[in-house]
Amino acid sequence: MQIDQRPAIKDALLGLLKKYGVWPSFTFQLNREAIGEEGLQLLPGWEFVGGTLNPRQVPLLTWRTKRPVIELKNIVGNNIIEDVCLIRCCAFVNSDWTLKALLYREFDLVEYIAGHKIISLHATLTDKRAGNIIARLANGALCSIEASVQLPKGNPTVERHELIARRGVASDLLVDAQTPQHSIYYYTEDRERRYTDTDMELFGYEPGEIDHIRAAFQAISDPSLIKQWSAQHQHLQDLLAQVFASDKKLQTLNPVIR
Amino acid sequence: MKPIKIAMLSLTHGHTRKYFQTLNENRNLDWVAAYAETDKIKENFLSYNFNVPCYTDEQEMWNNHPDIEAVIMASANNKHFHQFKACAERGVHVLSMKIPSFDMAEYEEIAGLIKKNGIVCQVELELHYNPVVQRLKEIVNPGEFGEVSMFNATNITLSPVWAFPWQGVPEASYGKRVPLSEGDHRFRGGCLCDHPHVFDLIRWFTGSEFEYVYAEAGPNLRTELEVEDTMLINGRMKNGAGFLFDVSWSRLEERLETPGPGWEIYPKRMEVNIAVAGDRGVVLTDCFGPNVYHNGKPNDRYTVQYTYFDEWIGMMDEFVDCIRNHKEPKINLEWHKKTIEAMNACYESVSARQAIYM
Repeated sequence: MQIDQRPAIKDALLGLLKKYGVWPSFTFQLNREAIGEEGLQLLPGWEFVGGTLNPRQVPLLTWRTKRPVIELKNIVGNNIIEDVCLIRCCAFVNSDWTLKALLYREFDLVEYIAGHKIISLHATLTDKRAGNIIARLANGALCSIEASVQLPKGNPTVERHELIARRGVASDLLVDAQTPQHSIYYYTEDRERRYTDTDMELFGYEPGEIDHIRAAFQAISDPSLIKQWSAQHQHLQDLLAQVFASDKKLQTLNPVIR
Repeated sequence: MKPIKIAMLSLTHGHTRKYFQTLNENRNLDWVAAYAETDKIKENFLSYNFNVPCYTDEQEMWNNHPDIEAVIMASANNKHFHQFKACAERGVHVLSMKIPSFDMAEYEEIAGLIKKNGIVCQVELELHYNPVVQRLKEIVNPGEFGEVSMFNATNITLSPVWAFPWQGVPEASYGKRVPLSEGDHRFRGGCLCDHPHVFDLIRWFTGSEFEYVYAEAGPNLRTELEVEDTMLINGRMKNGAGFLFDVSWSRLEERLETPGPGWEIYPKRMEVNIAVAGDRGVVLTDCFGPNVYHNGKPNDRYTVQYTYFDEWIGMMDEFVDCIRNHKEPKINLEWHKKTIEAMNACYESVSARQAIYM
């Protein structure tokens, strides 16, 4: 039997809001099934891919709250590395994901960390399960995105976000390594277990749940983000449409920058 | 809850900056004042624009802010005793840095002052509030993991002495000038004094106390220091678990007066890694991962960029809870005493060149 953790997610969010003295200016829900209930639906943006947002739907860009993402953005934004020319991304996940959802996330990560929009892309997709994209950003940087939803279940996500600049390289992957580091490796007779805990205030929640709670907290604390993220959602949907069109037409396409 | 009016003392400890954000953001704290030991430290503090009055005269701070309820004692170890007395006289609660005192008579006197005046004293051992350590604690529980046979840990860093000079002065760091061993030109007060965490964690994880410790100081990497900068320790707990600790300042640094980007020569400035072996298996732990990496400015060197330091949030939450709800902190002077005794025993071992039974 699956235990639904979602009410607990909302409890955790309410706890954070109380702790930091944030009083929501609107009612909200964190689960998709609460469609009949009142309030804004605060969900990861890929949950809304494929349709037009209704006024209650708030696409959260949850991956932006991850600590490595924040630090990579700081490294670029603070000019620790200068003049990014090439960006290499990969994300191999299991079939709980769709390729659209994964590309939605990766496109946003690239634009968020680099600080520039994607202005052209060329895509090669296979059976909606894997895809390789070559994209160009508004600052001229070239970017590759490798994506697959065929990682067998039970394996941790494999991802890499590497920014190569005229001065310096930044990455969330250690030099001379193919897989991400974990904080704990536990070797027993039956199997090896890995743990990566980064948030003491939300200790015990799954990483995806923590990202969801943190992003919802941001949106409630700063409602101006809702408009900003909704606009980015529309842009990411445009990029996804161009990906599938590019694959079909074997052409490089230029998304409209809104 | 009424916010606690809090001040910071001295601002000379390496962890000072790590409190700034927490003090500024925690709504249960009202940061009312800071005391800086020098004009230069004050100037540096004011550059953060926290809008907190900063004094270079400790007494003036007390006079102008009689409503201070608690302090973070961010000072050199040899300043603690005097500051504890000042706080106890005023009924001010204390969050102490890692080493209240290495002098056990002084330590007892401090404990007496705390008790007599009914104030809270919490010792800053922030790894208790680290999510990776929390997970490791869950894994290494006796019911699941069985007996621990080995608990090995590193607490290795660059040397802070260029930014925080007191950490290289035997009297300021250890409390007095004691030669490391006969014929050795160095004195107690170096890397060991900076790294009590591993001694604390093994006690917490095993629920046992030290049976004996054996320590040796290696040759100094920084030959101009008059305190030790490399040390290895092994020994056994009373429950039979063996251990090996590395508490060295073994990561070389640029000699910056103010810590900041480019401090590292070796890519990673700080590491607390723990390996535990037991009946069920082996656990390897990096308490500060995962990180990101770059070789950008200022020195174009490959650098490990840490991604979080949450420990201060949970630690300050507990401090607030203890003050407002009259609780005893987990890391109180009574608990911490055996950690300090073990560290002193390490110095005795270096001097005697033999294991010291506790």
